[in-house]
Amino acid sequence: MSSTQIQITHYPHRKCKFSESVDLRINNKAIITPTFAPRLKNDGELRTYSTVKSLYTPQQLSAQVVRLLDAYRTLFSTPKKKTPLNIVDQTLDIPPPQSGENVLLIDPALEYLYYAVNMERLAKTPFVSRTIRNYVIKFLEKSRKLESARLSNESKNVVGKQLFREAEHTNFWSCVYNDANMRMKLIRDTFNIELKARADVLVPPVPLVTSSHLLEVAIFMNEKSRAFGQALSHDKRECADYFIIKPQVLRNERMMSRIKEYVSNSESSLTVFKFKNLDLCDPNLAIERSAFKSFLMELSLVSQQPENKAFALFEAGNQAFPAAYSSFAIVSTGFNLDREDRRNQQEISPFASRYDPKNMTMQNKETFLQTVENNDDAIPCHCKVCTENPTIPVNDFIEYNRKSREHYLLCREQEMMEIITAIEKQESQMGFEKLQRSSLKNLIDIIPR
Amino acid sequence: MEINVPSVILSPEEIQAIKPSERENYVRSLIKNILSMNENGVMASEIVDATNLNRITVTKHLEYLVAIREAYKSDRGTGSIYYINGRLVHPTDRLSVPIGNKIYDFVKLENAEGDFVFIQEKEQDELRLKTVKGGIMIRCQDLLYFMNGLQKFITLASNRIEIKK
Repeated sequence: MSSTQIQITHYPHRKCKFSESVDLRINNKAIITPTFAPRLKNDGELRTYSTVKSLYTPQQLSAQVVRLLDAYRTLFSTPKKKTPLNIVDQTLDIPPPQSGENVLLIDPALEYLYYAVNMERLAKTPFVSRTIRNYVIKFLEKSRKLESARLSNESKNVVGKQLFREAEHTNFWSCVYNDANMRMKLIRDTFNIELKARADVLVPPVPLVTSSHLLEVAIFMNEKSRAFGQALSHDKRECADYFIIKPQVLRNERMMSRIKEYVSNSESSLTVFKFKNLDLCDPNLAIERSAFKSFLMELSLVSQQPENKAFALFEAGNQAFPAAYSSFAIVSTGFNLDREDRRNQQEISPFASRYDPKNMTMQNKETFLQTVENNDDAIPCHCKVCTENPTIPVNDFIEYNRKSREHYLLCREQEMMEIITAIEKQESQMGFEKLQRSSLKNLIDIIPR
Repeated sequence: MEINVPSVILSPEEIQAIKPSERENYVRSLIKNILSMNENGVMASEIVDATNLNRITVTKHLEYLVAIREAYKSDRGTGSIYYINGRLVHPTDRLSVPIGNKIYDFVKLENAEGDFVFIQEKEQDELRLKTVKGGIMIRCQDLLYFMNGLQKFITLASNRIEIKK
């Protein structure tokens, strides 16, 4: 008698070519799609998000995404005194996380077994399976040894960093694929942690897809996780499918067809995608843009079928708007707003970047102030945060950053609202026109027509 | 005849690799899924053949599902055929009443033997996951007799039953 935890209701009048807005019910929490789900990295961001929710009651901010490695400091931030090293098998005696009426998705984010950037944190966070921690500790140890061998020039045959990383990563996931014990432990630990964080849908631990072999491992992990989801409880949480994809995979037609084929036939109601570090605005990525368009088209057709299927896109970046416009029910981006500075290795300003709703890109403080000056000293934005707070806190970076984050959330919410209005009014050109006026002109090509 | 089973089933090694309590949940849930996928009923031996699970385990779980009224069985010749206990007639014919850490689900069901009101007792654990603890099925046409009986019992034992108002 247990009903599905994810239910989708389609309406004929909320459909326009490749765009659709549906009622999505996840674990008894209702969402009208498309919705924007910020990825929260710490309790400060959670507080900002909660403030925006309570002050402005935005309707299209109905979900939130927290990476497993950020879950402890974001959701369980109250007791700072003692951090248990492993909470997988323990009952938590700390207050339950505050997700409220929002749909909470926990992202296992195991691409960091490949990218070194958050590896140290993976080794330290209590919110990770021991299988992962053991791998990371061993990897870092081996890495250090290799580095010192390279520096001391002991051997000329020291394996290259990239090759070593690829080999270790593939080797780890091959072990998971072949060893039932290791596999079930990884899935069980991950799901238990997600449940402790009160996730509304279980997102399985899958590898970053860099090759056909790892794609098969990802599919295998999705299937096994869905089967195991039933073991956790009689009244189970539904298990999503999850694919973390390296942008280069978009060039591989065979792999993309395999993903599409799997998604069309899968029993999961929700499929989550993450294209790691993908920015289709780059003029050199013409092939990727075309592949992404065909991918969106395929997903749009699948999601408009009467079957119970919805899609989410994590770390959507510049693709957030076109993805929400085409087929994704939930789109998520981070909102720490300093990403570009870090990527370009520039000195990080204490002032966060600010979202420019017209250009749909981030702008730094100087550019923003210049824009305001050119606009007769008025902020060129109609969101409630900007209209209610016309004075810019130019010297107080904490206040400036807080306002920038609130503004970002409301701008994204506004974009989702515009999509819904366009669908209801059957204005299929709205998405193209909006992108045409922005700095994301390149992305017009990826919207299916 | 082959029965319908879920597309992915954990292998015996995978089942062995999970905790005993999770193993129980998994097998029970799998068997319940198989019953739902085969509305014409299945025999224990058919489930054993399709899943490679131990016969004793399968029978134990089938009997448990019958005991908590999630399934019912009908004896035919040498064996029993198990059926899922009806289907929800209308999505709105459902009510959940939380009392303490228990939840009582009232559902109107329909199966080959008629229309029933199914009352299921569920318990919520620290992860807010619900587990079925028991249930009763009352034929719709007998519902008033049942209610009268309950009322009579409350009156009869009113001195010894403490009712919170």
